[in-house]
Amino acid sequence: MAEALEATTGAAGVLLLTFVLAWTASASYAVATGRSGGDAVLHAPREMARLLRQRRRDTISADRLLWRLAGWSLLPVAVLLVALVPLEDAALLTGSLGVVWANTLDILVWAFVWLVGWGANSVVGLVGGYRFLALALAYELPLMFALVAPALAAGSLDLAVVAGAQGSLWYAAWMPVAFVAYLLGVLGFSVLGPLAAPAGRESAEGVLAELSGPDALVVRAARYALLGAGAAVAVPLFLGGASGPWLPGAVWVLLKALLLTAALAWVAGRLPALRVHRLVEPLWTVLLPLVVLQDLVVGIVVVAGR
Amino acid sequence: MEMAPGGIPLAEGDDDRDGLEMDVLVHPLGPLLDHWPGGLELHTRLHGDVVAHVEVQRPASPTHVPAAVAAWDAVARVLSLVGDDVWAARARMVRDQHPGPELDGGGGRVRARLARLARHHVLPHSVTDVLGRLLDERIDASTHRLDDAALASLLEGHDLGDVRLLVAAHAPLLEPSAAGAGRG
Amino acid sequence: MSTVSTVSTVSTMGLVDVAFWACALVAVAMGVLVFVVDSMARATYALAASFVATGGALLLMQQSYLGVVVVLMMVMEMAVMAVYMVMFMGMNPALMPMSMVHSHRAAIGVAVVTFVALGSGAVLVPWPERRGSPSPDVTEALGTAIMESHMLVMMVVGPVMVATIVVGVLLSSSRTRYDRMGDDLDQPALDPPALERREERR
Repeated sequence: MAEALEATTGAAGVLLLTFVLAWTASASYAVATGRSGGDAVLHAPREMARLLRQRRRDTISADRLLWRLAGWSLLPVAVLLVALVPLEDAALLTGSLGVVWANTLDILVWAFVWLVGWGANSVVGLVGGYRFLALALAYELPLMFALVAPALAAGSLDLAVVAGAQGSLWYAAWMPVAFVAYLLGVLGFSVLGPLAAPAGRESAEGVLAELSGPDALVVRAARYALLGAGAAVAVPLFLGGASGPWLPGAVWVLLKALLLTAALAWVAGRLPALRVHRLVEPLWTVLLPLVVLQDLVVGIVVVAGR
Repeated sequence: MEMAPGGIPLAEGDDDRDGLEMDVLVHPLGPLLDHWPGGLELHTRLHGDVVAHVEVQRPASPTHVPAAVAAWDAVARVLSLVGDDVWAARARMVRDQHPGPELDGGGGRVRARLARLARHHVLPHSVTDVLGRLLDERIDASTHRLDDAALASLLEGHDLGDVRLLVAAHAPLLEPSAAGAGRG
Repeated sequence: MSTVSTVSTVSTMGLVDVAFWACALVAVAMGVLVFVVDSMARATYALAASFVATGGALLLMQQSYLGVVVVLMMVMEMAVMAVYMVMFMGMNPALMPMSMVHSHRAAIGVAVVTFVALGSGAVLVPWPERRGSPSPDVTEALGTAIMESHMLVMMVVGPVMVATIVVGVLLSSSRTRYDRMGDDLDQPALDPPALERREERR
């Protein structure tokens, strides 16, 4: 009975945290694109009110089943990512494979974003979907190798163990390449900022183009929620998890997650969307080898430290 | 099996670059789009996302916009299209100050931003190139107008996204002839 | 004390059994759907769902790493496969219904025979009794098994697979997406048909 109650409050907490992270990301992104403070904070609720009242508009021969299923599945992915984050000593979803689960969840985004583009039966949607997959291959491999670094250093795939293994020197400090590659991957699977080409304005917002009403709301909200969730997972991976003076550990996790979310969203909002064929080459030929080198360095440090 | 599901005819094969069949699609652009010259219509044939063939249709009514204003408007539109909102707003501010050839600091900073975006290939080369020449008034919009065939040649071979950028950048050269109205 | 723990073990065993059968049924049902649906995207993602259910079954066998990796790899693979299917199939990607099977009867025959053979093998074979006990950390045991003695195989297989994929794509497309722009992507973006038309206009 007590267990069930604990699980329920935990789940409610994760939902609330995802909501707060998404709102933070959206507000910070809006500030970065030139809105004033109050306007930026109210941007998300205004959009919510607008899209909830908007009438649903369908395209001809849309694959409604896959289209809707994919669109409404993106937010749950963000929630599950947040559920993996250990607050103090345990996460809502604990387990010895948290790092691999985080990776698996961000792979699910591949399927859903492509299907959102495909399902609408629209040229721009499909173009957006294809752009996303080209980009996804290019950001995902650096992201995967970036996840290897902290796991290797901590000797565990458990996010709580990785967080606890960092001591006073956070992994972000001595694995900067892995950290940057990870954050770039987060922007990739949230389709924002420099990696926003699949939803680029020059292609009529690509995968988002034909979405309307509540369907548009959940996909647009999911982009910010995914950014926030990705930033939250970075806290145990790279930012020392619950470590910090004076305040309780859980507060530190929340603070770090919110700050990283705001900072990442701000940077994303400041940068223009890069064209896919110009972005793919540096991601494959520069970033990927650098991240592999980073893993090598971490491996050498681990072996030398034994 | 009907070959037009939902009333939309299936794409057909064409003399294509990659030899793959069935990837030609008719796709209209305009007359009303964000950051798009009002009234311009392009009837495109797509190979995947590459615009292979363009037919141009445009309105006949001339607008009377000073060349410098039109040029800065084009800059703002291009920056908006790539999601560079802060700098697009700055370009619009410069536009609204009725700029002349001697630029104040604001215009200079936006031009530096354009140059940086060009270096990092955020914008196609031809886009930053034409924007630079428009801003320097090295092309006179009243004499160097793009006719339909020239516009089609300019756009064919580019992908959908680049076509939007190219049209936004060349908008000042697309205005219908209005002799003497080009100068501000 | 001991009764309580026995009862809870029995009830969780029951739950695990139910979940396992649910995963197995979903996996088979989605596998069948691959051949029933009439669109490439639906067939692809039915297969992905089938693999996800298989991953779930592996998780229930306490092979956590294998289970999660099956989900990860298969969703990724299906996403890429959908692209290649749509790209290389004779039919266009519009949502035109098309059958997902060739030589229908033979395919069904082969599929049923294979399923029955493998399934009956799994059920009828006298499985050996467990000797010893599983490693406390099966993930680590798996990693050691793959990486320690078979490292050379792994190191060879990886590059060979990558080379196969790249060469396969290059051989199957006579002219690719970015040929038109030259090696440094800085040439005027023109392909033969558009190039010829531009010449005609001049």
